[in-house]
Amino acid sequence: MSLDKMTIAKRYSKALFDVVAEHDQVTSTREELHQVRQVFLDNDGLGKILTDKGLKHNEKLEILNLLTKSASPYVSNLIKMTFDYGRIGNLTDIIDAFDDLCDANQHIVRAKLTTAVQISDTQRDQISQQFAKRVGAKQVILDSNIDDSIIGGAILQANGLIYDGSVSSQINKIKQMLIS
Amino acid sequence: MSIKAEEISALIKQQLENYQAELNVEETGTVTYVGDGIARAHGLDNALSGELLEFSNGVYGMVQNLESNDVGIVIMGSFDGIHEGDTVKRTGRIMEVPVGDALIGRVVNPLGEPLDGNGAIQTDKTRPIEHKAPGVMERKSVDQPLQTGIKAIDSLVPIGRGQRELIIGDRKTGKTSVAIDTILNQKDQDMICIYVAIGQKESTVRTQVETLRRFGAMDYTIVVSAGPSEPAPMLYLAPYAGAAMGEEFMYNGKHVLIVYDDLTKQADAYRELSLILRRPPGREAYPGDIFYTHSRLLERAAKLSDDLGGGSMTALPFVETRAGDISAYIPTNVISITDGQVFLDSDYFYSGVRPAIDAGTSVSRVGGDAQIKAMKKVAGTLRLDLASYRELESFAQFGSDLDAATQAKLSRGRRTVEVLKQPLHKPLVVEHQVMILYALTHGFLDNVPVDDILRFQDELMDFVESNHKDLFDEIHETHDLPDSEKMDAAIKEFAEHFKPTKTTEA
Repeated sequence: MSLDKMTIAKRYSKALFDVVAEHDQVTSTREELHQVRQVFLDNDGLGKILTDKGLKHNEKLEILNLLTKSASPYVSNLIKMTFDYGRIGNLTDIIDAFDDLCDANQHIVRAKLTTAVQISDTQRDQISQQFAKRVGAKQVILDSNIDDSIIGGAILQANGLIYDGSVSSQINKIKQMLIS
Repeated sequence: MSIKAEEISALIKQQLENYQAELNVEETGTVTYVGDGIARAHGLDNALSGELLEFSNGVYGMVQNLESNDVGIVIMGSFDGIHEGDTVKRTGRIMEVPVGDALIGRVVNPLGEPLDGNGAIQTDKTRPIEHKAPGVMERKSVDQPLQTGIKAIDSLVPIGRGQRELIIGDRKTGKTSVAIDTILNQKDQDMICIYVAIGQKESTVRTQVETLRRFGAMDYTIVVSAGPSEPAPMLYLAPYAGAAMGEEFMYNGKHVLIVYDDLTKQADAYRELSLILRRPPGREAYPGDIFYTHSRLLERAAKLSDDLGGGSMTALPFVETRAGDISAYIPTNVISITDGQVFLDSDYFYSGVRPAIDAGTSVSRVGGDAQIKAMKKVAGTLRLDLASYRELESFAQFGSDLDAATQAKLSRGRRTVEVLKQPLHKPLVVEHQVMILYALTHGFLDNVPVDDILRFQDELMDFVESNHKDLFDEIHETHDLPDSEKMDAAIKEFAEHFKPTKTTEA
């Protein structure tokens, strides 16, 4: 049975993270990998042509050389290895999983904030500081968007948890309470 | 009744005053796959097995599979409105159904929602549908009879309260009729009946409910129905929901009869679920835990100890066989779980022996202890008589020169088979059963033509009822056989006046 992409991404990213963390190159590797991901995102189907039978092996190697030309040893090793094992199609997933590992290592939490109206930067900072204290993170990076259907208050989503302080859900709760 | 607007607004005011705005923290996941009756969701890292989840369109689901990256969920209700990418949130609860007296007389689905159009079910009591069966110390051995009102069952395969007796047979052999007649006979017996229809045609369920209503049996019956058009999870959960409803009464010291009609369809529904959830298939493609699904269900039927109120739950599970093959996977499983089985034979059914009970393969492992003394005395030789008759019957077709003893055996056998026949929806009280079986085993029927036996029985009952009612009363009160001289005298008195329709024996 073939492994699903989630399992693959977890395994490769864990191995890569362990190696670069040992040699203190986490930040530089991360930046490099972001560039690699950008290449893959810009060239849709790049991962696919490197795994299927459309191109000859040496043609694929040429593309690979282009990718690894200016890369640091660990990144170029990762690309070559994923190519050899036919996992290069999962490279973007691996990079995403690597990102998550870096965040977890630096105690950074990424959260999605939904509010009804535009909020000021000081309010944002307050929210992120409060939330950081609550989840025990050093830093909270907020990605805020506006949705006026929640009427008021705020909704914060992070790590599969929803912290719902919106007016609309409270109105719903009162409605349920009065009905039953 | 008048409702004052001020009162209502005061009530609302009071409720609003107590309301505290608090931050709502929910754990959510994302749906990655939706299939027939199941979904997979990514996230939900802390979800527990069996936990209830809520999809964003309000439909509930139950966690079945916990895997390394996702969870497998069975969807309870319509899965049309669920799409990939929808959020699904944990509720922290496990699945429960409403229970209590309010359900009696109602037709509900496996979630306890009414199907009969008689309004909402007013009860605030619920029970989890999965519940651990009573343990060793909470039980007591079966000692009270459950009268099915069917002569062939009460005499040959007696059922006690708290027993699990399998009803097994091919399709169209009268399995459901046995259950309906048994439910009808529980009238005024202080019993609560639950009929769980799993994958039965809606029209059939409607007919059964009408039958029960016509005979006044809906006053003490709950019908749980999961029709064939419902998604597989509903069919899988129906028997557990029924068992939960029965347990509420059992733990309150009442007696419950629960009929699972039928477990073959439940097994099929569970197989379907398991295969879509990608659990490995085993024999006949059933999942590895198919035995456990049935054993944990049937183990919940019990006779509770006196400390716990002495309530009981008697289970009559049904299993449908194909071409009389009782050695298939599901039948052998359920036979080994239950305390006996009633085997219905299609050949008997079509030759007019109804109920088509095959005495040779039907057994009751514990019911004998619960049989009343009088019945034990008259039914003792019945099984043997039938067995030797079946043996001789095929042999007797070849030769006509049979000795007198064989002739007598054949003639007794023919009458035994005739006595055990019973028309639909006419359950017989135990006193009447004892009377006719007494007449049979003591040779009073040997001179009655076979065709007249059922008429003889009916008229005998009327006669004894009006002239020797003390006999019936004695059996009813002491549970023992009255003095044989009195019994003989009464039957003889009637037999002298009985006029056979034909003068020659058929």
